Amino acid sequence: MVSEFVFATVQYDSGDWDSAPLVPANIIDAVARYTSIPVRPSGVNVPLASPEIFGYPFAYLTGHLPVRFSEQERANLREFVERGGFLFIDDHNHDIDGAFHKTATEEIARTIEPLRELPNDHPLYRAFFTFEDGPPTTSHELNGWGDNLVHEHLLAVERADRIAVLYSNKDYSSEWSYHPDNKRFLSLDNTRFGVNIVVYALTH
Amino acid sequence: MTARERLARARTLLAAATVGAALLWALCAGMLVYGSLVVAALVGGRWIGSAVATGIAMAAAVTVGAAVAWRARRAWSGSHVALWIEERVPALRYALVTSLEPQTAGTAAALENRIAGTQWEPVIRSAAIRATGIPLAAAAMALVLLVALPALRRPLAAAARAPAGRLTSEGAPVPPVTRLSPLRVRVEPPPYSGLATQRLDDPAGIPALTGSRVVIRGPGRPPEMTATIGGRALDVTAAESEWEVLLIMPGRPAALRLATHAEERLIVLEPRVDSVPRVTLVRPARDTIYREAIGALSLRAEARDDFGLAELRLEYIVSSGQGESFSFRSGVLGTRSARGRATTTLDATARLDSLALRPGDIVHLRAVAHDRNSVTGPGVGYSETRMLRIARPDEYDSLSIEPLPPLSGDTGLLSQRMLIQMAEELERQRPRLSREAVVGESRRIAADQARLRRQVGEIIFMRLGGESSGEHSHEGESPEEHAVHAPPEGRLTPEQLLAAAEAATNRDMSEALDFHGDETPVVAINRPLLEAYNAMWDAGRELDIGEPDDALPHMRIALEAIQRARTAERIYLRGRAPAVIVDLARVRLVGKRDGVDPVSVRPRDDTRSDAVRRNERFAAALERLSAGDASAADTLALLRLDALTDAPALATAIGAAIEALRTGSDATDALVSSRRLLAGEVDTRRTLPAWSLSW
Repeated sequence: MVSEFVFATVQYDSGDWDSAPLVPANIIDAVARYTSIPVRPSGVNVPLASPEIFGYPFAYLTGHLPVRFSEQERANLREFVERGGFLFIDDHNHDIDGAFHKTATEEIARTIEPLRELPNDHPLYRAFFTFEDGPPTTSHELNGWGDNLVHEHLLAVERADRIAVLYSNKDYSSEWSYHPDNKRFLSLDNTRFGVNIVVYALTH
Repeated sequence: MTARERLARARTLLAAATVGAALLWALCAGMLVYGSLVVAALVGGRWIGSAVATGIAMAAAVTVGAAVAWRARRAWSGSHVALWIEERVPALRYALVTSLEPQTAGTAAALENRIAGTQWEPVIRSAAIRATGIPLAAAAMALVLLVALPALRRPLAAAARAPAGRLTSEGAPVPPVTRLSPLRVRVEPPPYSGLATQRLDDPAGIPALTGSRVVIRGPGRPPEMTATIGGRALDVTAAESEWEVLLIMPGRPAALRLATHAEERLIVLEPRVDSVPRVTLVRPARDTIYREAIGALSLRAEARDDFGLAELRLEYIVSSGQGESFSFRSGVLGTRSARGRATTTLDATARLDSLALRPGDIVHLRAVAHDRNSVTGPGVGYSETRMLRIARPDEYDSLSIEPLPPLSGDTGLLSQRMLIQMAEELERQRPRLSREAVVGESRRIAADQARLRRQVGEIIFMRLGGESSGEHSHEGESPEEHAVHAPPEGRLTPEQLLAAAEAATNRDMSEALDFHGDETPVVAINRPLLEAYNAMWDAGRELDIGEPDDALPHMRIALEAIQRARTAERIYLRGRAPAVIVDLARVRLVGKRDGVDPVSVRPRDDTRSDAVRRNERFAAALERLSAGDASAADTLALLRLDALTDAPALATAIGAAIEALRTGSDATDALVSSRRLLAGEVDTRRTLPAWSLSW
């Protein structure tokens, strides 16, 4: 029985699932820093095709390359969501025309249901810290990387008034992929939204 | 008017005067009795309740009124009135009394004539005035006595609506006597403050200077009686026939919890803090630099304190040296004993040459005042520090600022995606535009496309060792014109770059002038960008001749190539992901000592604002109040304790509400005031920005 929060990164056969290797440590650091949630000091990598995925209520999936789930992966993802799991998908490309975005959103639509825009006054944005304007922007958006767009909303699939799949075009994977020791150089910790995501996932 | 008629009129007047006198005496008696009951309650500490007191006062009033009326009952009798008039008007010679008996016609006429010649009305009027004037004056005096005297006004007002219980000297009836009520409190401020001892009757809170000796007494014996402040138990001793608690007023607001086995009571301790002295260094007024350490320096400092100053002095520190080698010396330039005065001033003169100052030395001047606080102090106040520097001979005496010219232009290149959108828009509008307009707009897009192409060329070659592509800005030139510019040795011409691009995209291998044989590093590393560069050339050509529809396919190829290049750049060449293990103890600042495991982190403090939390607590108290829960007063007391430090107005309003609740009077006004203070000021915001007003 897992009694502490474990950050699980989803492994999938296609694409580069481990393109943001420092995000787990950084979010673990933020959860430990701001909350009293018991947390395991290192994350785990869990194959989506494995039943181990059901042991973790929160899972993180990212990458740059096209996503194609196997049938087993689709079945597990469907069951993971139905069992109450929370999957956070972040497009590491930050590009609405990118290969990851197109294929990942198609896979989610095929496996669960189409993603919809999440309103910016959703409880997610007040789950721990308050983000009045919805999802915080990333430096990659503001500096013109990717599609030159600042995405106003996140996307989501909701199940029974809770988010089951949260999808981001904002490239938090780039924004948060640095060693947590370097957080001290930031005037404002940009991983605070990660705390909201984790707290929301654990409380809804 | 006959004698009988005049007599009847006199009787009516006397009867009315009698009734008025009875009512006035009754009113007077009622007021005096009620006031006496209040005074008796103040003296004896027992209050019988407003209803009972009113009843007693009414009974007294009725009794007195009835007695007066009974005593003057003969005013309703005509014969008695006639005798009363005969007694006071001898000139009637009993004609009036005789006229009331049956008479013969002749006798009656004679009597009428005698009576008609006599005036008794003035006697009647003066008697009526006398009968009503005296009780009227007495009633007025009683009213003035009860209402006008400050010492009785509040007790009367409070008693008028109070239930049975006790009545304090403040006029507040309190619940029946228990071991926790009424309380008598004696506050002895610390001697240095010079304040007098204060006595409080059954207070909800005790305001006192920090360090004051507070003695609380209550009815009954101390056994099974506890007194605690923040979990710390106080001794409860016996004093005469009462229990007694002695405490020293703490530095921060606290709640004194008194409890017996049957009841509990909270008393809010409201410390008044002795402020530190406020010190101002009047002269010198600002920092300055002296060329030489000569002359006299006039100094002046002022200080004030709430309970009296002990001393004011002027201090200095001289720092000498530079770099990492400094030395310091300090001293006092003047001292003045304030002897407990609330304000004092110190004037002094310092001779700079007596301070043995050298060039580069800095004199730090400040004034320091001590108060007489012997309990938590002494409080020490400091003025601002002035710095007087002695200039070095070799230092600059002026500052030169050279303006920096604006940075060279930030061109703000348009992205390929935006150029495509512009070309598409131009193509949509083309049917409505003249040929000249289409060509002009198309060439403007071509110029931007050329700028972007040069940017791509720069990226390609800068990555191969910092070399520029050699393509410089020649706006509006055709490739042929551009070719006449001979590039410096070692750099590529645009044509060579184009050839490399075409070679990279397999369009014309024979023209790859510089790259015979194996693929060059330029091609190997930059294939997608070279393809983009090539497509941009084609797009630029089409745009230059005003054919945006033909340019668009090339522009899209360029965009796609850029995307591919960027995707290629972002792919990680990775092995195993680094395993970062977060040091939770360090992150949570719980540390680790001598092998002891980190303690679990405590929940963070409530991040909601004080106002929000107080609003919630206030709402909870109101709910309990409406449900008749007696603990509502304690909730309000704790809320008041919380507000004492930073919201004194709120604390006062809540205090008034608690007092009203304790006395059983209407607390609505105080609660409304508290809620308004909790809500804070109304925050109004303009719905339109200022600039919109001009629209």
